[in-house]
Amino acid sequence: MKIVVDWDRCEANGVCVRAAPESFHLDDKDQLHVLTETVPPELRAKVDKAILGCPKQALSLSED
Amino acid sequence: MSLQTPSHPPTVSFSPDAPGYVLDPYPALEALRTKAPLYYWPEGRGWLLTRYEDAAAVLKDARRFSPNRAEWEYASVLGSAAMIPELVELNKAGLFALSGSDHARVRKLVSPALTPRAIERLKPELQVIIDDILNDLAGRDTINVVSDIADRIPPRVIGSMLKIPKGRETLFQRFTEAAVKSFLPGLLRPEEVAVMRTDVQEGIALVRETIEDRRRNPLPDDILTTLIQTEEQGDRLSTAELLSLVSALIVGGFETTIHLIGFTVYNVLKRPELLAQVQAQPELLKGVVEEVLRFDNFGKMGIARYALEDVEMGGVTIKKGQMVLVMLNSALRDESVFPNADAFDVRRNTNASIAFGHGMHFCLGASLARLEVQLVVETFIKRFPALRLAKEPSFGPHPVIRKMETLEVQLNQQ
Repeated sequence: MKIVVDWDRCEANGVCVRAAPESFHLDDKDQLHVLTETVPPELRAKVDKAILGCPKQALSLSED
Repeated sequence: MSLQTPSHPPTVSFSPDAPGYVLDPYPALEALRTKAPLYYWPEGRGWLLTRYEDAAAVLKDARRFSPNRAEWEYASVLGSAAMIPELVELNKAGLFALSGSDHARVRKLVSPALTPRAIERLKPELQVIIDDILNDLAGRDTINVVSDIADRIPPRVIGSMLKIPKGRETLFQRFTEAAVKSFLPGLLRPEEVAVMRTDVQEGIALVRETIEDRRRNPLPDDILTTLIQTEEQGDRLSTAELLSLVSALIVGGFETTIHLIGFTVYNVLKRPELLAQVQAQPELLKGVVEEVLRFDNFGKMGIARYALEDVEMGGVTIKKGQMVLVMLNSALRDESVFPNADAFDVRRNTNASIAFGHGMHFCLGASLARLEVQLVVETFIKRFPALRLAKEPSFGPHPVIRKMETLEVQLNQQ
């Protein structure tokens, strides 16, 4: 499972960073970085919360 | 599957004006959550949703639930009378009423100004304001945290963010008070309205003037300049939209912040062992603020949404045009999401918290509110190490907030 970001939607509100700091990071230019593109099983629950919580629905998981 | 029989036993009722509710709404909310989690409240003409799962689902479902009051079946009868036409006009392009692509467009243009990093850059400015307000307390023995500190923070912060010209702060404060009150027409006395209209007209003129001045003289690292200059695929905010946004900043950022300050100070001071911990480790305050939002949410009612079509949910049918009140205060005490939900635990994982909402209307000012409240409380307890609660807080009437009126605190050792 890979994290996919819809860059047109991302507004850098940091909700995903709070939910899953191991997987998401905002740099000092407010650019989002995905730290774990492939989601390790132990982070799956947190990443799911980040995806579900994204106000902009900018995050999703892809199969490949 | 749809059940046509009412899902609530006749024993359930809801009276937010009953004595005791404002002090401790939680027994009443728990009764609803366990006995009738989707309850049609006849007096309020809307559904009360008290379970976390339903609350999160409705907030997330922008396709079927709108925040726009015009969608309400009673909008034409009970809609807030246009007492202050200037404000109705002012709020038309505001973020609270917009939905769909209009909302997405405006939100995208504003969000860079309120990201966690952008807010972090405001920290020195916030600290100056807080120090200034606390300086005024020197020599006092007992203060009211609400009127002496909390009430004074948001007007200064927002005025400073927008760089309202020096000497005009009082007018800006009157404007902000009028803008907030207009959302609560039930609390207004008729004789207040005329004064408010003048305040609002002068306030709008002041903000408009500030915007025009900033267009001519852009400032570095300035929110208003950023908003004016932000372009999104050739798109810009009009002056009307900028005015609406300023008003959204006020309405979204005032009473909420004031109450979060009051409730946080109260929850810390009533637990002397927590006060000692926070004094030793100020970084704990982050968790304290999150837990106060969850455990002792200042909301009296819920977030309103209006069904855009018939929706089957939890065994009931919410009809098109009906109002749903998403009771965050109850959802945040839902045992199925927050184990041991009735315990105040500043170290708990509050990632699931929906205190700032959920979905596309998630509070844009969340980072600002968090930082503002943490800094105020941290500075306050550092400045007055011997401070303690003088008496329990008192609450006043308010349609949607458990309005803390006094929180008397003794600053120094007797």
